[in-house]
Amino acid sequence: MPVPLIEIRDLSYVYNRGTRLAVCALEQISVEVSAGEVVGILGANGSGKSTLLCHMNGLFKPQTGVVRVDGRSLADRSTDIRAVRRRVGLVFQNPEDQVFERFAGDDVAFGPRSLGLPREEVRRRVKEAMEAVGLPFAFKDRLTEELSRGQKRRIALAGILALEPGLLVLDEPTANLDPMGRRDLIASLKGWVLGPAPRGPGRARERAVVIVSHAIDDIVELADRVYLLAAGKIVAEGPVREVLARRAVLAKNGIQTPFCASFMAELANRLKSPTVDAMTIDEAASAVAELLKGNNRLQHPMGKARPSGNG
Amino acid sequence: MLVRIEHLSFSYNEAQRSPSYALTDVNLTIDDGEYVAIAGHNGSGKTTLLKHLNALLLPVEGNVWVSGLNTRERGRLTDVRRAMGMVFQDPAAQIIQSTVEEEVAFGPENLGVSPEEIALRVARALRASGLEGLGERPCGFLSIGQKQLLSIAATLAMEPRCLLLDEATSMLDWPARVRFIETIEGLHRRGMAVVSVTQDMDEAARAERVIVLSEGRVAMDGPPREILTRVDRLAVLGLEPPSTVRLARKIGETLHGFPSDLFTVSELADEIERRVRGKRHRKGLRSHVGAKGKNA
Repeated sequence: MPVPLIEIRDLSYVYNRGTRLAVCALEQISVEVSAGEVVGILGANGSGKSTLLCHMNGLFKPQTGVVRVDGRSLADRSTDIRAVRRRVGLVFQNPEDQVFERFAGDDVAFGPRSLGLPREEVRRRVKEAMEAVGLPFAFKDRLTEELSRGQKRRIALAGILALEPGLLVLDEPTANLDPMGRRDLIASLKGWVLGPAPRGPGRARERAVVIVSHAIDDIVELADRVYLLAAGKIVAEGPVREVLARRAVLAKNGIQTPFCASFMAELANRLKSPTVDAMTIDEAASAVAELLKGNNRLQHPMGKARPSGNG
Repeated sequence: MLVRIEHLSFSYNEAQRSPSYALTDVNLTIDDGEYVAIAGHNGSGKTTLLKHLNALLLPVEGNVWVSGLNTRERGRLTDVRRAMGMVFQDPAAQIIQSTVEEEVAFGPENLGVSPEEIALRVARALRASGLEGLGERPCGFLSIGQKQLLSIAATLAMEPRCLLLDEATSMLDWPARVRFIETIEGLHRRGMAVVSVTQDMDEAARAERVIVLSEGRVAMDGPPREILTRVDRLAVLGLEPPSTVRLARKIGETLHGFPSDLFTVSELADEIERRVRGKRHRKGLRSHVGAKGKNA
């Protein structure tokens, strides 16, 4: 079994530890992310999501528990924390606020240049990173102050990608983006995690993404697996469809049910028939079309009909 | 009339040789008590327009009148800002006092309102924003959702005629978002005008009127049902219709004759339910006839 990209075991974290203002932010959290995966982290405001993210590249040191990147504990003295931060790229909320260079290309090149890489290598990385976020290389000569928020955000993301991380960790990457900007960003992330085609038989994918988002559609479209946090604990985890189908658990923990899932539930309730798990517009539309084409019961979009109560 | 905007143009770099314009020749009026959503792609000028409504920005060309006052009249800035209360995206960035009560009282104190009147206003504002009973709580102990409600309360204590919201729900989780919107809609029902900049089309659909900006100009303006069902036009402007409209259109792609003007969840569910029941009914009749035939 391959070593996970990141492995977090029994992590707990208390802010203001040992004072009257102590607040437990994380309690016995275990999370694992393997190459090729997109993992979603769900949770209401204050559930501990950001605290968890800050542990992923060693910004926070675990008070109890252990964080391993590529199998090496971040608490080990021999672990090079700077290498870990290159390996795990952390993209904070509104990363466009951190774009500071005059030209877009310089901002993307800032990281690789600080690593002391040769000119040609910097150029190659900037080009690849910009293409990964859907910007042509010529965009490097644009003035950052004249870019829209969506463009700036992509430049900020490219700056992280130019460090060539194995794991990309994103905190609310689509917040405040317009619908098209959001769609483009989701597509870029999907493309990035696939990475260059694995060379030769048996070569596995090498990249992974961790995404935190209140926009439940981001999670539906991107994530393979999710963890649901509430008050610093993991209250549910598993494949995204399984967790998001548990509407009662979502509601209890402050997570919005995807629009289509709640619409299909409403429909099933009206028609007194079992609910179909539809997460996306496409799935819901084909389920409804099936229904209207003559089936008396809701069919699963993938063809698996569920037993009907009143057939 | 609450707001009148005539030939408003604005540039952040007007001193440069070839300035770029964030707003170009915007003309519109907003009535007292209206609930307006402003949508548009990133960089379309939404926030710039909103900031003109409480004189945080002043026109480079054209004029903005708020409650009949031209925002260019320096002497009346306080009156304009009192009438138009702004709630920003990040609640933490706008809270300056140590307790909830002090935060709400801060505005009227600065206006020189009497202590008795301030106490009344604070109580009223906390009630209207759903923060009753939390007056003595330190602001630092509030959740992010409560902080955003506190921003509303602090604004309400100034007794504004209109609330200006700049993507005010974008940092809130689902329950806090629902509560915030319900609070805003409650205030609106009691006569408050609301102008809300949002990227969330499901949220925009709840307003009485949607203004879509593109490249600093008004591209569309009308009732949500009219504006947000123009799928192709929205796509050109970098926007998407609300979830219900997207689902209805997708169903229509495979099912000819499915109505394309459904806008709310209940309209869409009604239509599907009606069709399914019709089908069940016909099928029931058929099987009934079939059974008879067999017997005979």
